[in-house]
Amino acid sequence: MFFHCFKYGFLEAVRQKEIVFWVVIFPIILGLLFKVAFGSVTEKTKFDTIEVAVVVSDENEMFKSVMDGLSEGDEALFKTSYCEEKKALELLENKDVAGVIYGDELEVTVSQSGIEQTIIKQFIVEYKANVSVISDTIKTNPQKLSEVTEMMNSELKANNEVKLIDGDYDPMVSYFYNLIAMTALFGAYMGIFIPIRNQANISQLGARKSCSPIKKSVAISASLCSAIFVQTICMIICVSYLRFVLGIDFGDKLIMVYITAIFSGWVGVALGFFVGSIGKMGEAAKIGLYTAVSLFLCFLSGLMVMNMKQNLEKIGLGWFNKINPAAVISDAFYCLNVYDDYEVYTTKIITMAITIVIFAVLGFIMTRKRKFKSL
Amino acid sequence: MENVVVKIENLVKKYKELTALDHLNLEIKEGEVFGLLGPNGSGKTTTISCLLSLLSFDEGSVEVFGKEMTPVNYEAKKQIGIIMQNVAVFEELTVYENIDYFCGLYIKDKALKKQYVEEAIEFVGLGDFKKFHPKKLSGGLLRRLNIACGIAHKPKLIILDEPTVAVDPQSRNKILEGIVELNKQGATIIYTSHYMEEVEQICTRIAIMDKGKKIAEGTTDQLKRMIKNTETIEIEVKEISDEIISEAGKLPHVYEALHNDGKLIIRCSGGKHNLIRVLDLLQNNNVNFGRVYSELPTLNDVFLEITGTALRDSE
Ligand SMILES: Nc1ncnc2c1ncn2[C@@H]1O[C@H](COP(=O)(O)OP(=O)(O)OP(=O)(O)O)[C@@H](O)[C@H]1O
Ligand SMILES: [Mg+2]
Repeated sequence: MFFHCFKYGFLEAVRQKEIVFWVVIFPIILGLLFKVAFGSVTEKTKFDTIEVAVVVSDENEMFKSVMDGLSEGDEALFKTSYCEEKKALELLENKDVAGVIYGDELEVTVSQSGIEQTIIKQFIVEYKANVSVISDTIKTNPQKLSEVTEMMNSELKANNEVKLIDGDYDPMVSYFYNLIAMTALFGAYMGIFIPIRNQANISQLGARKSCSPIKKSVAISASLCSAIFVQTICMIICVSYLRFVLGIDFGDKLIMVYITAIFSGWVGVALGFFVGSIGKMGEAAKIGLYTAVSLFLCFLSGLMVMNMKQNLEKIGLGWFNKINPAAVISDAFYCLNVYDDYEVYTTKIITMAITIVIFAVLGFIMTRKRKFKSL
Repeated sequence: MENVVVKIENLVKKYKELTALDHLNLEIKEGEVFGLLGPNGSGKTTTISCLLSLLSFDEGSVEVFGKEMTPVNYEAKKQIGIIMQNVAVFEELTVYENIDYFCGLYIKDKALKKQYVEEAIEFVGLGDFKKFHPKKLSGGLLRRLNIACGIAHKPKLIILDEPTVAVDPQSRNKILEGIVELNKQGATIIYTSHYMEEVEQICTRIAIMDKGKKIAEGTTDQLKRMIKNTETIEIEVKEISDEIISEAGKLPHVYEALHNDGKLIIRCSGGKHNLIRVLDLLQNNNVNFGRVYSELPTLNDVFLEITGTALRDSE
């Protein structure tokens, strides 16, 4: 009996065009659009030329020629502006440059921390370490100086790359995490149908099922299992597509990404199951309601507007995103991708588990009624 | 005596102010084709929903197969086949899958289920449409699918709530024949409708409902015997004087004569040769007349006489 219902629940879900669209086709199309839109941009930004202001005395030929070497060509590391200290600090303040280098003292002033600032500091360290080699080269073989600067350039860039894998922020990947989170929430469309089609007072099908000798709890849990099963497949398709077709680099945590995606898909199903169980509204109304609510949750979680989270915190509503499923899901991915923070990640996963349980139980409670005052 | 399959006693169902069922009593015996006849809104569907324990009610009791009917009376539910007023099938599933799904809720044995599903498809004549989705079926075929989903598990009690609404006469006859066939195979049938012809055609016993009350019950003949009207004569007459009409009203056995819409309508109770006497009267007074109809009473007349309004008027 359970398997019979599971089987037909599966067929019901996979044959609904709306569901297939939102959980399979939509992420594929949007993923492709993201890739086209951000794919090329990101590669450049990764190694964008760093703008620096250099304060150096005219006599310091050696430092100047190294700076010039690093500022030449398409893949130049720096874009250098020589100026007075006052002007340099002004540029720094206006964020026109990432840092100020004092060529004579071999010191650096920055106003914030980040990859660019780290590279500038690393450059100084590298320069100090190689100062004797450089001065030798300039004296004996000035044309070889370019080789030295090239070497420094690629070394510093290599460091930069290592940093990224270590968990530095890659804005592009986060777009794809948001995409996965959205797909997960769309899984709700599968959940919504379950109570509707089992409640005698909401649908004719529900009335018909209620007349049959199947236990309501069996019928509903079988449908719920098939929805979870289908959503799991859809999440696997989604992540696999992003990783292996679009070639999105999820770092070395691919398995974790899969697990997180599947888990968040279940959150979506549970949410839908709950929404489907409230009130006497029909399918269309409930789908509309859920879409509105989920978009609002996504909005508050900052999936659409940057800094939304910070703004909420400012007005004292930061707690909301701790339970907002959209935020919890995207946070879990951020923990994986950006912060490399397993402790926070675990809390997010636990929050998701609690969300699933709460909404599933609420859904069951609301659908337990068998006899109605009015049909 | 035959076994009582359904016993409804003093059933009262209220929707806020509106009393949809007013102390309704019904007893349906094994092997009957029981017709529940009544105009729209008379409470037929409400009766069925209470009987199936889908609706809660305010007073009274419902027994099915000798036991109180509750939402968890699974033994009774196993024996019931239900065909709702509105088609209830899965859009996403094919004809075969729909029937298989519902049959599978009742029948566990796989081989038996398969056999039953095939038989149901055969029975409603959907053999050529097994792989069709409900959307692609015409209205009549869809109704047949709806019926197949309700009867595939060979229930002992089959409840049909207006299964022929919006079906062409040919399909309707097919469906009615099918119901009679199911009854022959041993099923007890409860059939609701507001088409008295259908009910007259197939039902062995009929209850007429109006405004939540049972106003009459019996076989067709018994019901017709309850009223004084035995014959209605209609004659197309363009012009006729009031004197002749009142004279017609004084003819033996005639209890009502009126001219309406170009027709002289005469209602008689008992007696023979009523038509001849009326036509004689017209001829003697040189009244020109066109077509002549003489009808035996219908259930509509029964309804009309008991309630004062025609069944059809409320359609
Ligand atoms: N959910 C409801 N809430 C309020 N009133 C209702 C509800 N359902 C039915 N009614 C009322 O109860 C009465 C009986 O309705 P019911 O559907 O049983 O009639 P019916 O005989 O099946 O009519 P039909 O031939 O149109 O199917 C009607 O007056 C109807 O308006
Ligand atoms: Mg009805």
